[in-house]
Amino acid sequence: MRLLLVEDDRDTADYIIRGFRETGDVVDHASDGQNGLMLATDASYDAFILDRMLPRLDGLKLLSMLRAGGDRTPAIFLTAIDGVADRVEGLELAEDYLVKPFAFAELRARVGVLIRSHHPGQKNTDTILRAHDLTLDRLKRSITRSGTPIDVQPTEFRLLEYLLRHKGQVVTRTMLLENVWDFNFDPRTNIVETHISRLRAKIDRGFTPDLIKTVRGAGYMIEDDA
Amino acid sequence: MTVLAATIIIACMIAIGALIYFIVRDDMEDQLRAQVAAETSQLLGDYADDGLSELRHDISERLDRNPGARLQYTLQNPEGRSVFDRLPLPDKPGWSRIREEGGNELLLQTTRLQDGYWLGIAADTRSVRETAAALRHTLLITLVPIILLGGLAGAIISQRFLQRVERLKRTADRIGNGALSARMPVSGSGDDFDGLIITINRMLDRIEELVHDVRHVSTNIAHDLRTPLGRLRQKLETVAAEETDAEASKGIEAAIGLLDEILVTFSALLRIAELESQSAPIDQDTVALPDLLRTVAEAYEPAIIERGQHIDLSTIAPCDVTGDRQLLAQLVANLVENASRHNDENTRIILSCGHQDGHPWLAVADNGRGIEAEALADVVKPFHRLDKSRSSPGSGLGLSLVASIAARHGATLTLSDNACGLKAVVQFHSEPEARPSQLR
Repeated sequence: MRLLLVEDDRDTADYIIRGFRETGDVVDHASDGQNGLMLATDASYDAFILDRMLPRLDGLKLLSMLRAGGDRTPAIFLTAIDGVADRVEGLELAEDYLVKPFAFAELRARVGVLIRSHHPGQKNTDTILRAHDLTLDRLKRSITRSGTPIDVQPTEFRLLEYLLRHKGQVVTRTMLLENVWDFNFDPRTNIVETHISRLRAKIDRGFTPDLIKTVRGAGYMIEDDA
Repeated sequence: MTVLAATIIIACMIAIGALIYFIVRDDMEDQLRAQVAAETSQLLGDYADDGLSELRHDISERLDRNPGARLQYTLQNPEGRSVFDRLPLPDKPGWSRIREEGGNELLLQTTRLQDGYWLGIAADTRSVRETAAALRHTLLITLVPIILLGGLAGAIISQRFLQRVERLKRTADRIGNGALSARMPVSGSGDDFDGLIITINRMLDRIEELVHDVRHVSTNIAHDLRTPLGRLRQKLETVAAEETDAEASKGIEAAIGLLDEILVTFSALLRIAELESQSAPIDQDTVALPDLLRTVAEAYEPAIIERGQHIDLSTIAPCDVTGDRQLLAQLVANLVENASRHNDENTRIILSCGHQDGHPWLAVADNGRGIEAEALADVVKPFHRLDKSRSSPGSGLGLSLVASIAARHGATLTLSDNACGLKAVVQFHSEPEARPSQLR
């Protein structure tokens, strides 16, 4: 992946760059909005990671200028501003929004999803999602594994659907809360964990291999078949 | 109020009318009396100088003069026979009123002369009576418009006063509900009322400034602490990734967990400050409360069952509120988490919603430990934690956040004893706030 990071805080930038470079991704870094705009227009990137509050040109303006110029590169805002209205404002331009401070695993998972949904192998409109011997039919609202029908609750269905749609990618707890339950706050209760364990009991118990993997310190993943 | 003002004005007008009537009547009668007294004293002067015959002569002369508008004279001898106008004289001197055969009332002054003679001089009171009658008539005729005008004037005056009081009350209510920038309207008439309002507004300016300062300071503290805490988290994560010793890794992860707790507290603080400052508009979606309760209940059910507790929906009536779905979900979630976290196994948490007096409400009730009545009001305050909950995790901001979200939606949070356990009711009252112009 080739990423553009526009972030004025040196420590945060180092932390992000080091994280991505460890897995062989390329990160170009600009420490103010003007330089960011220059880099963004000079080269082609898989995704933008933009701070909201930047010297010389703020992140929101930077992205709106790029969008006005026809640049559709997926973008995620990193921000210390966590207002209700700020979030809405940010999401009108960018595809995702992450509040500082964040765990690197969260950022990496979100950037991964961002890029994959931008070049989807499995389209959003697919009615049948598969992984290994598991099939989820969105129209019939049915799930089978090795041909055996499996009965799940509506929430569990949505949870599995989201995991399947992002097969091969790590999805974090927060991503699941936002997309399955539409909660953009952090509950103090292990909502996600308990639902995942119920879902596992239904689709993994008695079958091999286990489809839902826990990625330590990051989230969950259903592995690609390949 | 209006009736009282009108009654007072009308009563005053009637009293003034009556006063004018009596003053005019008495004044005219006094003039008449003065005329009779002057005549009497003149005739008595002549009588003293020249005796009875001169008196007779004087009276005869006067009788010939101007017969219509003259005074009436009677001279009575000791035998009781009278001459001239021959009025019946009372047998003691002084003023009296007598009635003529025609019904006319006369004002009579009787004087005793020497030798047993009596002199009576009288004036016809017809003119006084006629004037008084005319005055009475005029006053009665004008009384009707006086009553109408008085009522109207009273109504207008008190209405204007009441309107101003009502406007003040509405503004005070808005300020009480957190709209600290609202000010009392000044009429511009420069009256005492305006003076009072200007003083109150100045006081409100000062209060707003102070509240703003306090909020600004706490928001800045939270914001400025977040950045270094974020860096600390990044450093810990970096160290954790490089650490090979399992024991050390565990310690670092625990530290990151603690740090995340602190960061959640800061988020809650900032969120409360943001909601209470009313600086940013909130979404104005139509949110179906039954769906919202169902979503939250479903989300929490497995975790709550794992704790040996139960969560159920009951009496769910269809009802919509206008507001921010995310914030309302957080409100219900916080109440459910509170009910679960501060209670033991086998606690049953019941979610419900409905209408009261046309306004929607939602409630989260439990049959757990409950809160003592005297502590109910305090638990909503930021960082307030009951002694018995100190051992359970939580920042003490959960219920404050619930109260802030409720207030922002024109709703109030009430905690009450649930016979056994606690019942939190969020009662929506009004439209939360004017629709924001548009999010940019």
